[in-house]
Amino acid sequence: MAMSPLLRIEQLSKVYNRYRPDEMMALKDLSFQISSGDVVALTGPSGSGKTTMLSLLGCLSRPTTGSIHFKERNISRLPERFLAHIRRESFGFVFQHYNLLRDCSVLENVMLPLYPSDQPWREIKQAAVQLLERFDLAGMQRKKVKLLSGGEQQRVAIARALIADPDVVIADEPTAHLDRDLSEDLLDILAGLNDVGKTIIIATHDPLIYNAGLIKRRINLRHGQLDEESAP
Amino acid sequence: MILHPGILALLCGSTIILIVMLIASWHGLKILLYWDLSSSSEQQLLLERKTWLISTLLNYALVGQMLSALLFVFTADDIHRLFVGAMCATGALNANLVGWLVLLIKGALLFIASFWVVLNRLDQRTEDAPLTRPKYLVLLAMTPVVGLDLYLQWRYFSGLQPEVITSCCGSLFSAEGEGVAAGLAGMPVKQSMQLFFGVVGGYLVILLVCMRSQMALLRPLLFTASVLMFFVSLGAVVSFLSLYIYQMPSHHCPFDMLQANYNYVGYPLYAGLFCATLFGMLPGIAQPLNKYASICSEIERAEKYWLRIALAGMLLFLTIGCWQMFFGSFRLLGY
Amino acid sequence: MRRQLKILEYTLSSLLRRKYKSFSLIAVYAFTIAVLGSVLFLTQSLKSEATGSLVSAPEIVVQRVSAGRHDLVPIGYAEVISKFPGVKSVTPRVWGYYYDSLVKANLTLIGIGEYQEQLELLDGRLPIKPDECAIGMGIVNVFGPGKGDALVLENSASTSKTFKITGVFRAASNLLTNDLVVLPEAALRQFFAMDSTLATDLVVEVYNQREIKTLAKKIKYHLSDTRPITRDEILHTYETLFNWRSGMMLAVAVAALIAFCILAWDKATGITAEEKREIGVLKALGWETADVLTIKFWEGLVISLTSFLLGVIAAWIHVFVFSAPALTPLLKGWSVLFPAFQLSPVVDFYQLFVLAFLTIGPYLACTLIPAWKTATTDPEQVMRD
Repeated sequence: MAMSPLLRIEQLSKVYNRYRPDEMMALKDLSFQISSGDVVALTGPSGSGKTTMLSLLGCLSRPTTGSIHFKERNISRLPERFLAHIRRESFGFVFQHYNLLRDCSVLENVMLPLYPSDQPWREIKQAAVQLLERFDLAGMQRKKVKLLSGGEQQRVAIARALIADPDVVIADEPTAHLDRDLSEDLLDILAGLNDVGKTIIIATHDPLIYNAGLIKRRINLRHGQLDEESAP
Repeated sequence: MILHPGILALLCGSTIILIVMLIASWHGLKILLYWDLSSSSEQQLLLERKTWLISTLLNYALVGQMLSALLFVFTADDIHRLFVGAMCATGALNANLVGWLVLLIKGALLFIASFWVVLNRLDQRTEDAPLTRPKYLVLLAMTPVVGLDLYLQWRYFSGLQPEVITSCCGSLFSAEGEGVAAGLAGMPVKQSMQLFFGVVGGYLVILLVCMRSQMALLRPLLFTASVLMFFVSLGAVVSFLSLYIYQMPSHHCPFDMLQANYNYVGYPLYAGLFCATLFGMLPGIAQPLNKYASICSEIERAEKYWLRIALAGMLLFLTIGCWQMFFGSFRLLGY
Repeated sequence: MRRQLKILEYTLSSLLRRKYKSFSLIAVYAFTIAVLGSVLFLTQSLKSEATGSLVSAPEIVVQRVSAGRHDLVPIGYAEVISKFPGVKSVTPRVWGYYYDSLVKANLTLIGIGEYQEQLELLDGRLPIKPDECAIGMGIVNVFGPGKGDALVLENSASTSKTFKITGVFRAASNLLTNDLVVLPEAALRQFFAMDSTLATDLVVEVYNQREIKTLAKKIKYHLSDTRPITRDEILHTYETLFNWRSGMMLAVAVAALIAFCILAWDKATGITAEEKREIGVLKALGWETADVLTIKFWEGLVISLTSFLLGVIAAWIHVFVFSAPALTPLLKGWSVLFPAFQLSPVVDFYQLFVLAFLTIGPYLACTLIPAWKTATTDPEQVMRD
C-alpha cells in the first residue's frame, strides 16, 4: 500500500521550563517519519530525550516548536482534551513500571482506558476477558494486581494497552524489569501484534530488543538530536 | 433583621457563590490578558487548564444559583407567618421593595448563567475555542451581578420588620389593587387567554418551522417569540392559570403551587417554562457565532437538541398549566 | 450517560479502596450535619408544638397594666367588654405560678370555674371539690404521685395544702400542659390569697374573626389601663422567638461547619502520592481532564449524600428519640420543668433543604479547586517516575 506516513515529525523541538533559569532543551530540530506497520526501536543513553520523544509521539505532551502529523492531522497544537481522545483511541501504552493500579483487580485495570468512552460496559468487559484469555490470565480477573508476579503484571499492562484496539503500541523500556526468558516472551507477543498490523515504538537500551529480528528501524538519539538512523 | 435558619442559609450560600465567581473572574481575567492559542508556552498550557477550572466553577455556581432561587422563594414562603396579613410568599416579598428585585435578579442570573454554561460546552468541543474572549468578558460582567444579588438579599432580609403589616397575596393580586401585578390579575380572563394562546401558538409555529428549516432569519424570530412567550406566560400564570390550578376564582398567587398541598405542581410548570424559553432563545443567541467556522458545526449539531428540549418544555408547561382548564370541574369562563 | 455511569463505577470502587480516608471524612461530615440538623429539628418541633397548642388559645386576652407591669384585672371590666357589639363572651381567668423549692421547679396553677379550656385528659376527671386537682405529665414525673395520690403545695403563708389528684393531662402538645396544675377557682383564690373581685386576665371570644383587631383597639380605647393581646400577636411572637433562637444556635453551630470545611479542604488538597499517580495513569491512558473532574464530582456527591443521610438520621434519633439531651437546656427555657419531654417528630422538606444548602454547599465549594488541581495532573509525568 502506497500511503502517507502514520506519523510525520518535522523540525520538532521540546524545551522544558522555557525562559527560566532551569531551561532545558530536550529535543532539537528532529524530523523523521514512521509508517504504518513499522517496528521502531528508539535508543540512546539516559537523558538523550527518549522519554520526551515517546511522550510527544504518544500525544502525552505538545512540542515547543515544529509539528507532528498523525494520520495527516496536525496534532501539535491541539488542546489536551483532543490529545486525550486520540490517545484513547489510537495509542496503547506499556509503561516502564507498568503503571497499573495496584489495588484494583486485573479486569478493572484492563478496562480502564475505555471507561470514558461511549462503549457499553458489557462490550468492554467482553473484550477485556478475551484479551486476558489470550495472555493466559483468564483465571486472575478478580485478583488484585499487587498480588501478581512481574511477568503477569507485564502481560496485564499489554492487555490494557490493547483494549481499545489501537493503531500504535508504545512501550517504554519494557524489559527493564524482566529476566531473559520473559523478555523473549515479550518479543514474541510484540511480533504477534506486528503481524496483525500494529505499529510498534519501543524505547529501550536493551540490546536483546534492538538487535532482535523484529525491529525494522532503529532511531538513535544523542543529546536530543538524531544520531544515526538504521534499518536492518 | 430576622434571624431565621433559611435566611442564614441563603446569605451563606450566596456568599459562597460570590466567592466562587470571584475566583473564576480572577482566573478569567488572566486568560483574557494572556491567552494566545498560537503559543506553545507552558503558560498557555496552564491557561488552557484553567479554562476547565472556570467552567467547573461556573457549573457549580449555576446549580447553586438555581437552588438559591428556590430556597429564596421557600424562605419567603416560610417567613410570611411573621407578617400580619401576609398569607403566602407574596406577602413576605411585599414587606419591602427589595424583595421583588431580588427575585428578578435571581431570574436574570439563571438565564445568563445557563447561556454561559451551554455556550461554554460548545466552545470546549472545538479545537480553537473561538469564544474564549467573549466568554470571559461575560463572566467578568456577571460577577458584579452576583454581588448585587447578595447585597440586595442582605438589604431585603435586614430590612424586614416582623411588625410591619403587609398586604397579602389577596390584596396584591386582587382586582382592586394597583401596579402591574394587580393589572395582570384584573385583566379580563377572556382577553388574557386569547393573548396567551395566541403568543404560545405563534411560538410553537416558529419552533416547528425552525426544526425543519435552516433559514437564518427564523432564529432571531424564535428568540423574540421566546422572550415574548416568557413574559406573557408569567402573566398568564398570575392572571388565570393559577386560578385553574388552585380551583379558586380569586387566588392569583404564583408561588403557592410550589407547595405540597398543590402536589408541587409548580416545579414542572416553571421548569417547563424555563426550558422552553432558554432553549428557544439559544438558537438566536448562537446565530451570530456561526461566523466562527469551528463552532458552526457544533451549533448545528446542538441546535436540534435545543429545539427538541424547547418543544418538550413547552408541552410540559402547557399540559400542566392547562390540564385543569380542559379536564377539571372548575369553570372560569361563562360566569 | 454510559460514560457517566462507568465513571461513577470507578469513583465508587476508588472510594472503597480508600476506606479509611473516605469513612473518616464521612464520619466527621455526618457529625457536623447532625449538629446543625439537631438545632433545626428541635426548634422546628418546639415551634410547631407551641403554635399547635395556640390554635385553641383564646382570640383576645385582656391584661391590666399598672405602673408598666402586669396586674390583676377587676372583674368589672368583663362586663364593660361584654357590652361591645361583636363580643361573644368574656371570661375572667385565675392563674399563677408556683415555685417548688424542693424539686426546684416552676408550676403553672390554673383555676377552673365557668370557663373551661379544651384540655384533653389522659386519665380521670377535672377537679370539683376544693381539695382536688388535676396535673400535667411533667409534674407526675418529677413529684412522683399519680392519680388518686395527694399533691402537697405550700402557700405564701408557709402553710401546706394537700390536694387530691383526680386527673392527669394528655394533650396533642405537651408543652403547655406539662407543668400545669388545675384547681377549682375558689381553691386557687384561697391558695394565692386573691381578692374575689380580681382576676389574672380576661378571655374574650368574638363572633367574627375579622373583627378581632377592631375589638382589641376598642378595648384599649375604652379601658386605657388594659393590654389586649390577640392570638395572632402571640403566634408571631412565638414564631419570631423560635426563629431567633434557632438562628442564634445555628450561627454558633456554623463554627462546627467552618471547622469541618477546613478539614475537607485539607483532605482534598492533601491527596496521597498514590492517588496522584493514579490520576496521572488515567490521564495517560486517555482520560480527559473533564473525566477526572467528573470523578471528583461524583466523589463529592457520594460523600455528601451519604453523610447527609447519616447526619439527618443521627439528628432525628438525637432529637426525637432521646429528646435532644445536648441542646434542650439552650433552647427551651421559660420553665425549668421539662423532664422526659417527648417531642412530636415534625420535619418538613424545607428544613431538609435548608440543612442541605448549609452543609453540602460549603463542602463542594471547598473541594472544587483541589479537585481541579488533581484533574490537571500532567499526563506526561507518568513516563518520568
